[in-house]
Amino acid sequence: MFVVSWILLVLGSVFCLIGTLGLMRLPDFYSRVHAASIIDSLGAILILLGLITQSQDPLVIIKLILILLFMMLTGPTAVHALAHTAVLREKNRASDQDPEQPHEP
Amino acid sequence: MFTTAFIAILVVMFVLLLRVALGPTIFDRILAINTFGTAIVLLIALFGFLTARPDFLDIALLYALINFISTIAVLKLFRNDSLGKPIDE
Amino acid sequence: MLIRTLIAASLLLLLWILLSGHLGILLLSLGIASGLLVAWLIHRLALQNPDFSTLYFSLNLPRFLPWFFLEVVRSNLDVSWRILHPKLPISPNTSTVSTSKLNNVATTAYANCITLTPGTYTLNVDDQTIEVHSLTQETAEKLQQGKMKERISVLQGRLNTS
Repeated sequence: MFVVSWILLVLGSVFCLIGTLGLMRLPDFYSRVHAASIIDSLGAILILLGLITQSQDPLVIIKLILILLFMMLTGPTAVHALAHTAVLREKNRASDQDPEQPHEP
Repeated sequence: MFTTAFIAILVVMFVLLLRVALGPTIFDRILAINTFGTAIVLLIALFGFLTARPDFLDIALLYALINFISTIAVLKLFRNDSLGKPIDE
Repeated sequence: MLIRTLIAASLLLLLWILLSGHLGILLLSLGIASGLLVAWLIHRLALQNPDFSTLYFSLNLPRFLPWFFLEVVRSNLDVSWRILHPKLPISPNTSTVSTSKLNNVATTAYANCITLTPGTYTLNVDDQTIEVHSLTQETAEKLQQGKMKERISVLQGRLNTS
């Protein structure tokens, strides 16, 4: 059990590090979201699973499972809201820069 | 062995702060802060195991919820310049 | 509707007990009070969907989750490989997938599952379609085949006929 937990924790850390590397390397906002979602999904899942396999107290296991559940429910919603707002903002920008209304100082 | 993951998460958080400072658009910064919140939740949970005090898990649970609400609140404020108004499509 | 509210309140009370781990009279009565309060708030928000069977959804979830977990792992490995590749072989693009035959809750679950697998996330949700941003052309094509949608339409059960 100890070995399994250790492997899960290290793998989770590695995925988190890969996600941050992607956050720095990828060229624009829309592709950076993919890198951030690595940390949100597999990084968090593996580290929390590593902690679950480590603990004996059932209350602790329930709490860890609830943290996992909440993160899996709220993470995608936040990312979707973010991307949706970014798209709306871009559209607004495009309609603000109409040639009929020049913004000359 | 918790220390390994702990240090990895600390490195992740440092790089995320770098992205917050660098981020060309405001959305990059919000994305980095949202992921930073995930990293903090993992860090608090790991810290609870590191010091053998499982009470920290309650804090992690709360932080996971508050992180979501704060991201949505910032986005709502950013979208229609007010927290009180309903979102209109 | 009252029955649903009471079921929600008892589930919330169960959550309270699981989280606190104490069974004293004071804590239990506080739990009952807050469970009823939250159930009433949910009722006021009108979040409950009458033509959706939560029970059926939950019973079918164990068949869906292992497949979905494997899918998450696979797409994570794919995106990680692309990030670590020195040439960064990505081709970001947006596409639309249809959500016909899925009800509200199933559409939400579908959009969440798309966002949860790295490589794809939802930009916009309409009545009939979801706009998806994908990191590569291949992931977009894989999503178009609609395997995930099939699995989720099994999940929503037979109550939906529209």
